[in-house]
Amino acid sequence: MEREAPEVDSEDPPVRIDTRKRRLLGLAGGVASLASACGLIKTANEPEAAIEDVDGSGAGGADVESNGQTAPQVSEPSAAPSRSGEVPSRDDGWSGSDLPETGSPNDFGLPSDWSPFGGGKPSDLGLVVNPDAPSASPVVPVGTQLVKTPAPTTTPAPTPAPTTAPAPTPTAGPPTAPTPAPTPPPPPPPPIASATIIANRATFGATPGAIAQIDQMGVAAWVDAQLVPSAIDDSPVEALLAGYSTLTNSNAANWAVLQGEEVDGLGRRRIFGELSHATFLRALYSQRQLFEVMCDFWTNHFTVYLADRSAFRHLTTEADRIVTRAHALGRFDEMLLASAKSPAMLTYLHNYRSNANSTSDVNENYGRELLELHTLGIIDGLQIYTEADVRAAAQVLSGWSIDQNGDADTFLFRENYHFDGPVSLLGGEWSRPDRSGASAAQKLADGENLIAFLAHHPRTAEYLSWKLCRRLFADDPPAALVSRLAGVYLASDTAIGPWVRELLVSPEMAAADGTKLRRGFELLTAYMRTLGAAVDNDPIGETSERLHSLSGYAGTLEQLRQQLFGHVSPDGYPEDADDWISADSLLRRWEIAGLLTHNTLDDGIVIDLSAILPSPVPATWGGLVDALITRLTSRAPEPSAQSALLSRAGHAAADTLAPADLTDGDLVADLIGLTLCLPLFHHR
Amino acid sequence: MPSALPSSLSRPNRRQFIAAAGATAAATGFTTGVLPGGTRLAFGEPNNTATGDVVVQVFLSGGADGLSLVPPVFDANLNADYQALRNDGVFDIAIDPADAIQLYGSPLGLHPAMAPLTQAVTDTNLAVVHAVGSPSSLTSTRSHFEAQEVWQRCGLPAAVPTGWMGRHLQTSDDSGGALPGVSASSALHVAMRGSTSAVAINSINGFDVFGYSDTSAAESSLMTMYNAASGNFAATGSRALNAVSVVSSIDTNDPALQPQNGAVYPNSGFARDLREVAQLIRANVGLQAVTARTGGWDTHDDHGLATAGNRLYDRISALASALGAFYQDLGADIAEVTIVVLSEFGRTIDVNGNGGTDHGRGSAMFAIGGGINGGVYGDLPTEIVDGPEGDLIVLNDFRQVLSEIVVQRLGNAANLGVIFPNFTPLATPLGLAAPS
Repeated sequence: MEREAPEVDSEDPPVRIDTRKRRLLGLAGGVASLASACGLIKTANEPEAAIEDVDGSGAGGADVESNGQTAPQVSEPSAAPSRSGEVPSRDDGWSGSDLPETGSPNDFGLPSDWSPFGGGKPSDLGLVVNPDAPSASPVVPVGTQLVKTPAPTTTPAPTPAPTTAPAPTPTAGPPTAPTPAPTPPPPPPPPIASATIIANRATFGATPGAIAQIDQMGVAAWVDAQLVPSAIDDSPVEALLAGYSTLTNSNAANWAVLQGEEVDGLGRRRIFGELSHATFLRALYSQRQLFEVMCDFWTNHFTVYLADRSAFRHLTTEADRIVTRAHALGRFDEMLLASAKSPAMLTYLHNYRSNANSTSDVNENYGRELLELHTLGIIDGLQIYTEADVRAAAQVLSGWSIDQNGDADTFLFRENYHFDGPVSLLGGEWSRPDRSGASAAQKLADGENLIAFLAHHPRTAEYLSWKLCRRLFADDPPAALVSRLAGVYLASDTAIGPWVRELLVSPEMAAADGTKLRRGFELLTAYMRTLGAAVDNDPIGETSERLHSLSGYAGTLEQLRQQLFGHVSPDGYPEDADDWISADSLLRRWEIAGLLTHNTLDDGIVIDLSAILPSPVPATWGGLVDALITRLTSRAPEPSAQSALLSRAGHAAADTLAPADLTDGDLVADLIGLTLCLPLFHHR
Repeated sequence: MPSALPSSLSRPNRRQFIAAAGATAAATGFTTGVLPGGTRLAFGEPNNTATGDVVVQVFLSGGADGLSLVPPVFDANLNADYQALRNDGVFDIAIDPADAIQLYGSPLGLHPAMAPLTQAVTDTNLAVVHAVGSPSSLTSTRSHFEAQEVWQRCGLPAAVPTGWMGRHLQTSDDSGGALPGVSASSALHVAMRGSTSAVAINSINGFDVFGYSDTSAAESSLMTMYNAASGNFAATGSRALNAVSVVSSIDTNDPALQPQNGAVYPNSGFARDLREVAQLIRANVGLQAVTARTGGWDTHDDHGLATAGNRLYDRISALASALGAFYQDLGADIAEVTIVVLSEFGRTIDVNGNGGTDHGRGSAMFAIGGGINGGVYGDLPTEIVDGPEGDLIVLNDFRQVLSEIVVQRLGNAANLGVIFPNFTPLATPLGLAAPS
């Protein structure tokens, strides 16, 4: 029943280029041949033998300290965790709150005998999805009231080629050739600032189609429509996830899947692969973009990290479903209660073992983070609660545990763990009397009451509003905006929709372009959405492994320091730009842009550069670079950006451009990749 | 102290270096005194002459349990209290005196898993300060996130936007050359912020421009677009390109850059980071300040017994074996290297109901190096009691330890007020660092 990471991970990437500093040999042919050039572009993902000889653990292995971000040391018992239904005894990892300074550590503790590519199913490349396709003819969601629909100012994009290649099933046949992306739409209309801003804030990356849709509907109507995600048809992306059975499984069923790795070696990879790749594909292709953006916000707000806890790592999937996705645009009080009772959070922050009647009293970990991170918060060093309040919260919630009978892993209130004495928080703002002799139902209700009190506290309103502004608006939002949002939150009884709407339609937002740095995840999705990338949807295929580090070496999102569900500490990925800006990070951002445009990041990620190039071909090189900048950044070209790209082209702006010049695939890929490196693109 | 630089540490004359690095070095020059974005530095001229020393800060993220790292088991009274609180009959997380490594005849010992550092003790190159932390006048927070910020800035985030090492570099006259500041990480650690020259290097071989058909043309293009933009993002891009020109000249396969003196690094990311720091030191790129980190210290449950195979033992062992290898690797070069090991706070004294410990205030801090006077410094608690908040009271200010290293090893006493704002050093220093 061994199911933990090995002591040493020596996973090697499948492709190795050991020639340091090698500059790329010219790639043959034009755009169409770029995909075949895999392996010729040097990457940092292919470490040197000298490094690996000593330390093959780049990202994996038991000592999980890649990238300066550290996951807890894992050394689990080789025996199977007890599944007895008594006192939870499966604890197998310690603290959920190991603390990377920023960014994420990222290791799923995969064993070294899992070949990155040998053990999985073949990649299925039958999938091509253009994020703009469904929106090319803007969808007006059923049941959505459009307050005012301005007359379209532009011709709608042409009908896209059908992109409904059936989602490959995990057992589909050998890879097939990728379908070319649809015919490129005509150049977008001159961007309207507010539509561009909203497209960059409320989606995972502006595309010409998304901008046109917002422009046509108007910002308010578009936001209103997005706030009713159930009314937006999302069947294309859901079809991609058709085979992802663990997403809807009970915890017991996913425990069985986890154990299934004993049989086929895929259980753990399947659980994390499906969760991560579903999140990624939805970010890329869902029409419910605002919903997905908010899911990302709440996933970070209620971070759980269980990848290093062998007996509990399957619980993250349920938390994503019953906490995040169930309530992302619902009500915060309900989401907070769902989180507090979720087996994932209960195990991650140790409350499931918190026993007020043991020799050593309660475990205060969850109580602390409930106040510090989930509700009252600390804003600019100011906090309104005390250490005694942390302890009091832990006392009220002692006994909130899980039932492991039959591997159910469901919420269970253990009355015999509960602290029965009187408790008071915040100087008496909330209190309850001595509960000795009271019913178990009463004791449980006290905790639920505390959760509701915290959700409705004005300080929680302020803290959540500050966080939302920092997510979508700016690192240091104006107090007046935060205060206004807090008022809406309280007035709407913790409903999330009106609160988010207040921010997105605010005049402050309409005037703020480029005030937020893109974090790693949204940078990659922005790259891929604007490029119209098609992505293989096999959750445990090569592409998913490459993106999500499923095989133990540093995946693309890990290199961008935002592996999905990979943030170890309970505070979620950081917001401050300075936490994301480093020389190493910028090198990785540039590298991944280049690998994408050369179609060398992964065989299962396909980009048709011809769809990016302007048509007809501009008369001059200056016209070309202007068109690329406009198309990819949705902003007007700046002189420095023009000259930077022209220097790569080796031409002056006025030099004549001939269509034949664009058959140089190396140059085109470099130019488009470098356009994505413009500092402007890295800001929303 | 040796008066001559060890050969492997001797650094090129800064101007020679700038010439070697070409025109790009000018872009990082401190001489403008202007931060990215055009803000004039709030502090004075860079007037410190670098000593040639390297300070390596190792941050133990999560709140390391100082009472396990350095148990007070060689004093009968302290030990009796300690054993009683750490062994409640259900969980025994106390260190037995018979297993601990006594420090210089003091009441303190090292955890048995710290054995790889016994050579540094024997060399009297390891100093310990216990019951150390942030004074309540600065912060008494038990939030990881808040405390980590305070420690790295040596100030409150709202008041002090930069890190202490960054401010040292900005006031040191080598800050414009070569590669004076490095975070061995994909992130630039907060301690290094404020330096216009510090960079994050996750791996030497990975620190390069990748992904383009024509790399040199791509680098030129990137330089144009990043030099033209404003703000920290763009400035960091320009700095990265400059640093690439330095780092890419390092051949990590050079035999002279391999671990020396029989040192064998364990297999961990943290050990790899230290191994590469040793390579950077030997590569003569002008290193002055380094940050590294290692996590896994937030031990709310299951410390386990102090034997191999138990969680806290293994965590401490991983730390000590990496530090021990680094110490051995550097050999004579340790004379000009100082390692300082710290954590954002300590943990409660009493074992909790899950065999772990919760957040506490005072912890232990280490300084290791040839310029360190081995010993136990600062005030020690006279009794170990389960006080009102159940933790070790802070008796020593962490900034005192850092400031003595800055004064003695980095020679930057003139800028102490800039590096440690609102901090008044002790009139009589602890004396843990010798003059360089």
